[in-house]
Amino acid sequence: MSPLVIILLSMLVLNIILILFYIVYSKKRTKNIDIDERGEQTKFKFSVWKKIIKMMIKKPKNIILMLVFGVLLALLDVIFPLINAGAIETFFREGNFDQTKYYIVYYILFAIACMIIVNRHILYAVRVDRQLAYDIRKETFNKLQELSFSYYDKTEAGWIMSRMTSDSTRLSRIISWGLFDIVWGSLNMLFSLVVVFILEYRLALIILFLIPALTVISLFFRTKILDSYRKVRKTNSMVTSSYNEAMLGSQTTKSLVLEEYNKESFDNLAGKLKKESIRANYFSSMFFPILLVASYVSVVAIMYIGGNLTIQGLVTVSGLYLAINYARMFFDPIMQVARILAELQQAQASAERIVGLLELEPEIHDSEEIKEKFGTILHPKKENYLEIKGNVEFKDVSFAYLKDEYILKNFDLKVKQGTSVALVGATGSGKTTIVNLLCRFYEPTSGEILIDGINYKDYSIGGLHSSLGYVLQTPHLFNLSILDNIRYGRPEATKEEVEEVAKLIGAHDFIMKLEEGYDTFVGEEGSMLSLGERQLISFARALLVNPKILVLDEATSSIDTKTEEAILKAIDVVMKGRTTFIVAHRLSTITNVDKILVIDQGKIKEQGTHNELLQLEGEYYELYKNQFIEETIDKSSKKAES
Amino acid sequence: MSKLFKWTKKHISTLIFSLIFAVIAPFTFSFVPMFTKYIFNVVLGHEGGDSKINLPRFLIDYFDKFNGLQAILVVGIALIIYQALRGIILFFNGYFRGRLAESIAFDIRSKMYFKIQNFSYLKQKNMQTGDLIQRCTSDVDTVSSFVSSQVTELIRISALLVFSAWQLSQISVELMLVTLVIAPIMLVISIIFFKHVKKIFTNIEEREAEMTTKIQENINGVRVVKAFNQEINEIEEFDRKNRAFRDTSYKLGQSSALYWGATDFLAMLQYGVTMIVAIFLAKANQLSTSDIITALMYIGPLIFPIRGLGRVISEFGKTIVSANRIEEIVQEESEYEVNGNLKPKIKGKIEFKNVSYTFPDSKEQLFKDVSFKINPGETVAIVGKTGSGKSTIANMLVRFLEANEGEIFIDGVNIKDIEKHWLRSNIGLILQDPFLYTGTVYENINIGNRNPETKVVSAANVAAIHGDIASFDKGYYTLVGEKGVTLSGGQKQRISIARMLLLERPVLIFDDSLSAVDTKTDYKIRQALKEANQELTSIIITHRITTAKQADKIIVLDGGIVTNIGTHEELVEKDPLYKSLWDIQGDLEETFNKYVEEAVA
Repeated sequence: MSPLVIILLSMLVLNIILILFYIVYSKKRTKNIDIDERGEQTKFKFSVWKKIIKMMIKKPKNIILMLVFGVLLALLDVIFPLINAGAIETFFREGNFDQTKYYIVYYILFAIACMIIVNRHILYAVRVDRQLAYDIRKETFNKLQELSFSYYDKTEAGWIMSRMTSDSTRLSRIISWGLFDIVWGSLNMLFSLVVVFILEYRLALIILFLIPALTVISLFFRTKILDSYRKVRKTNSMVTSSYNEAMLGSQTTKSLVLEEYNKESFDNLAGKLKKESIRANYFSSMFFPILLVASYVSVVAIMYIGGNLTIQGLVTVSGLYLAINYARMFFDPIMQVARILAELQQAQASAERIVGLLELEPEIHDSEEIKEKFGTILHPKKENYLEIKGNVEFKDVSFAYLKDEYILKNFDLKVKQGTSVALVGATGSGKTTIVNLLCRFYEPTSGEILIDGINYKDYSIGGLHSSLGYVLQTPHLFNLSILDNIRYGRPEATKEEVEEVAKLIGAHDFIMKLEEGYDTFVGEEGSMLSLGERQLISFARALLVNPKILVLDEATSSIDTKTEEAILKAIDVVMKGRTTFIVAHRLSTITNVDKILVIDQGKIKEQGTHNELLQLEGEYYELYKNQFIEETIDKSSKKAES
Repeated sequence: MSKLFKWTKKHISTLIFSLIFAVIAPFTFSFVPMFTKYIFNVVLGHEGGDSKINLPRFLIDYFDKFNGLQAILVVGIALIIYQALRGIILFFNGYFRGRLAESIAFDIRSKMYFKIQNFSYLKQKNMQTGDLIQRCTSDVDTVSSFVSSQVTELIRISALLVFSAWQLSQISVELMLVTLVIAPIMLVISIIFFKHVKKIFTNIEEREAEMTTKIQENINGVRVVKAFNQEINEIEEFDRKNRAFRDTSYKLGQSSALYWGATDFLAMLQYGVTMIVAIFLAKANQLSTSDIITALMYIGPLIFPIRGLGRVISEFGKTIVSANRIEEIVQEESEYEVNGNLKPKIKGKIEFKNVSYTFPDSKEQLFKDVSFKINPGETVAIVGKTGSGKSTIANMLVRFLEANEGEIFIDGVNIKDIEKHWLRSNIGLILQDPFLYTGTVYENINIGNRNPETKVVSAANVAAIHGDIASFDKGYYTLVGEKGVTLSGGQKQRISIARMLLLERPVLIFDDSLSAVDTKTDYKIRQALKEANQELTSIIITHRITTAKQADKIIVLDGGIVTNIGTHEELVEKDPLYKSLWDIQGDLEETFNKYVEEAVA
C-alpha cells in the first residue's frame, strides 16, 4: 500500500469516528437542553427562515453586492499565495529577473484590490445587517400597533422588549454576517481546492479529507462554547439582580441583620459565575490548539507526499509551497463556517420568536365588510366614520377571559347620552372589564353592546376610538412637550386650542409657572411632573379630542388636598355634556355622578345616586364608611402638617 | 494605575503564569517555520540543516542523520509533536488569562457587594441605583479584562513582533528591517481609529436608547395609544428613531470599512515591498528558495497584529475611568467604621437624654433636647406631624443615624457603645415600605430557613397575612420580588411583620408599618402581638390616633420638641396638637353618621 493510501484511509477512519462522536453528542445535548430556553431547538425549521429571508430580499441590492464582494474576497485570498508562488518560481527557481517590473505592478494592483474589496464587503455587510434589524423592528412595531389589548394583558412588557431589541439585533447580525461568511468561507475552500487539484490531485485529496474532521471539531467546540456562555449570561443576570436587591433592600437587610447571610449567598452566586466563566473559557482555550494540531497533521502529510512528488519532479517547489500554504490556512474558513452553523441554532430561536409575533392575528378585528367601509387601523378611511352621540347599551353581555370563567354574566345596562355612571366594586368584581368591553379592548363573549342603537362593531375599531376619550388610573404621558402630550389625540390642534382646554381643566397656571411653559418636556413617563400634574394633563388630553364617550379610570393613590380639589373640578369639567363611565376607587370623587353601580361578581348589586345608596345602608354604605374613616385620618394628619 | 493593579496582588501567581505564557506562546511559534525550511531544503536537494535554520543544535544533528523522504517524515512528525506541545502552551495561555480575569472579577464583585451593604443610611438614601449597577457590572468587566486581556495581549503582541523579527533577521536582516517600515504608521492609524470609533459608539448607544425608550413608552402606554387612535403617529415616530439608529450604525460601518480597507492596503503594500526587496536579494544571490518560503511565513505576524496593539492602547483610557469609578465605591466609608463593642442583654429599657438632631445637608435642627423614657414591656406610641422627626427617632434607636447632641441609653448602656449588629438583632425596626427579596413568600417570612413551618404559619397568623397567603394559587410558595406577583402595600407590610416576629426581637419598632392596613386589621394585629408575647417592648410610630390611643404611653412631637408624654386621657386634656388630631379622627363613626344624615337630608 502506498503511503498516500495509508494516510487517506487513516484520515477516513478518523473522520468516521469524529462524526459518530458528534452525532452521539448532539443527541445527548438536545435531550439535556434547558426547558427555560423557550423554543430553543436544534431542529432546522425551514418555514421560519423562509419568512426572514423574504423580509431580507425585499431590498436585494445590498445583499447581492455583499455576496459579490464575498466571492471577490475569497478569490483574493486564494490569489495572493498564487502571486507569491509565481514570484518564487520566476525569480528564485528560474532566475528570470526581467519580470520584476510586472511583479511590482501585480503587488500594487493586489493591494489596491484588497483595499477596495475589504472596504466594500464590510460596508455592504453592515448595511445588510442594520437594514434587516431595522426592517424586523419596523414590522414588529407595526404588528404591535395592530394587536389587541388581550395580547398586552397576557404578555410581559419585558418579553416584547427583548424581541424588539436583543432578538432583532442578534438575528440580523448572525444572518447577514453569517451569509457573508458562509459564501466567503465555502468559496475560499473551494477555490483553494480547485487550485491544488489542478496542481496535483493527490494533494487535493489530503485537504479534502481534512474538511469533515475540522468541521466536526469546530462544530463541537462552538456549540459547547455557546452553551456554556449562555449559562454564564444567565448567572450574570442573577448577579445583577442581587446588586439591585442589595441597594433597594438595604434598609430592610440592616434592620433584619441579614448582611452576612446575604453576602454569603452573593458570594456563592458570584463564585458560581466565576466557575462557569472559567469553564466556558476552558473550552474556548482548547478549541484553537486542537484545530491547529489537526490541521498540521494534514500539512505534514502534504509535506511528505508532496515532497516526494517534488523530488520526483511531478510538482514544482512553488506548487508544494502553495499546497502547504492552503492547507495551513484551511482551518480559518472552516472555523468561520462552523461558528455560523452553531450560531444559527441560536438565531433560529430568535427568528422563531419574531416570526411567531409577526404571525399573530389581533383577537379583536373588524370584519372584511367593515374594513372595506372604514379602512383598517393603519389605513383608515376617516371620512366614512359614523357620528356617535353617546347612548350606550349593554344587552345581555357576558364575558370570560378564560373559557367558562365568567367575569360578567348577562349584564344589562343603559346609559343615556350625556349622563355619567360610576362603577364601584372590589378588585375582580368586573368593573374594569365593563370599560374594557366598552372601549373594545375586548369583545363580549356573548350578547352585544349598542351605541346609539347600533352594534358597536359596526363603527369599526378606529371609528369607535375616534369618539372615545380615556383617562387612565396612572396617567401615562409620553416623553414629549406638554403641548404635544395634550394634543396627543389630535396632533393637528393649535396651541390656542390646547391652552383653552388647559385653562378649563385648571392646568394652565402650573404649566405657565414652568420655565418653558407648554414646551417643557415631561421626561420619561412624565417623571418631571408630579402625579397630580400628570393627571391634570391627561384630563386636558382627553378633553381636547372632545369625545362623545369618556372613560375615567380614576386614580387610587392619594394626592394632596389642593390637587385633589383641582382634579375634582377637572372631572366635573370633562364630564359635562358627554357620556361618562368612571371606574371609581375613591368614592369621594363620585358623589356627583348621575348613577352609581355597585358591581359584585359581574352583577349589579346596588344602583342609584350617592345619597340614595347611603340611605340604603347596604354594600355602598359600608364601603363608603371605611373610606371615609381612612380619608379623615389622612386628611387630619395632613392638616396637622400645614 | 495602582488602582488597576491592586486587584491583581492576590492573584500574582496567576498573573505571572499568564504573562509567562503570553511570551512563550509567540516564542515557540517563531520556530515553526524553521521546520518547514528544513523540509524544503531536503526537497530542494540541499543539505537539510543550513546555517539559517534557528533550531536547537541537537535537533538539527538528529534530523541530519536521515536522508530524503525519511528526513521529511522525521521532521514532519517532529513538527506535529512540536505543535501539539505548543497547543498545550496555547491552552494554558488562554486558561490562565480567563482564570485571572474571573478571579479579579469575583474579588471586585464581592468587595463591591460588601461595600454597598455597609453604606451608611444617609449614603444609601442618596445613591442612584442605575449608576451603581453599571459600576458593579460593566465597569467590573472592563477592569478585570484589563489585566487579563489588555496587558497580556500587549505583551503577547510585542513578543510576537520581537520574536518574528528576530527569526526573520536570521534569514535576512535587510528583509526584517524593510518589513518593519510600515509598523509605526499602522500603529498610529489604529490608535486614531479606535479612539474615533469610541465616539461613534457613544452616539449609537444614545440613538439606541432613544429607540428603546420609544418602544417601552409605546408598550406601557398601549391603552392610551389605542384609545386615542394614535397607532399611525406612533409608527411614524418610531420609524424616525429606528431610522436614526440604523443610520448612525451605517456611519460606524463606513468608518470601519475605511479603516480595515486602508490598513489592509498598507499591509499588502508592505508585503509587496518586502517581496520586491527579496527579489533583489535573490538577484544578488543572498536569498535562497527555502529562505523566501520561510521568510514569507514571518511577514504576516510582523504586519497584521499591530492593529490589535492599536486597539489595546486606545482602550487604556476607558479602563482607567472604570477603575476610578470602582475605587469610589471601594473607598466609601462603611457604617461599621464607627461602632461600639458592647453586647449587653437588651430588655427594652430605653432612655433619650436631651437628644438633638440635624440632617447633614440641612441648616435647621430637626429636633432638640428630646428626652423620654420607655420601660421594658411597655407599648409606646409616637405621634406628630410628618417631618417632625418620628422616623428619625426610630432610625436612631437602631443607629442608622447618630445623635448630634445628647445621649441614648438602652438598658443603661450608652447606645454608642453597643455593637450595631447586636443592637439591631435586639431592636427590630419594621419599615413602612419594606423590601421583599426575590423568592417565595415562605422564604421571605422564614429568612434563612431557621424555623419550622408551624412557627412560620403562626407568625403569619399573628400578622394577619395567613389568609391572604392561603388564597394565592401557590400559597406560601408564591414567588414575590422582581419576578414574582405584585403584592399590595398592606400585604407587604404584614409579611414584613411576620418576618420580624419569627426573629423574636425583644423590642419592636413599627415605623408607620401598618399604614396600608385598614384600621380593623391594624387593631387585630396589635392584639395578637400582645397575646403572643407579654414581655415585648413596642414603639409604634403612627398617624392613626385610634392606634395611639391604646398605647401605655404616648409621646407627642411637635415643633422640634417633645410637647407632652402621657396616656390618651391625659393628653386629650393638655396637649393641643394631640387634642386637635383626636377631635378630627376621634369618634369617626359618629362623624360619619352625621355626614350621612346631612347628605340624605
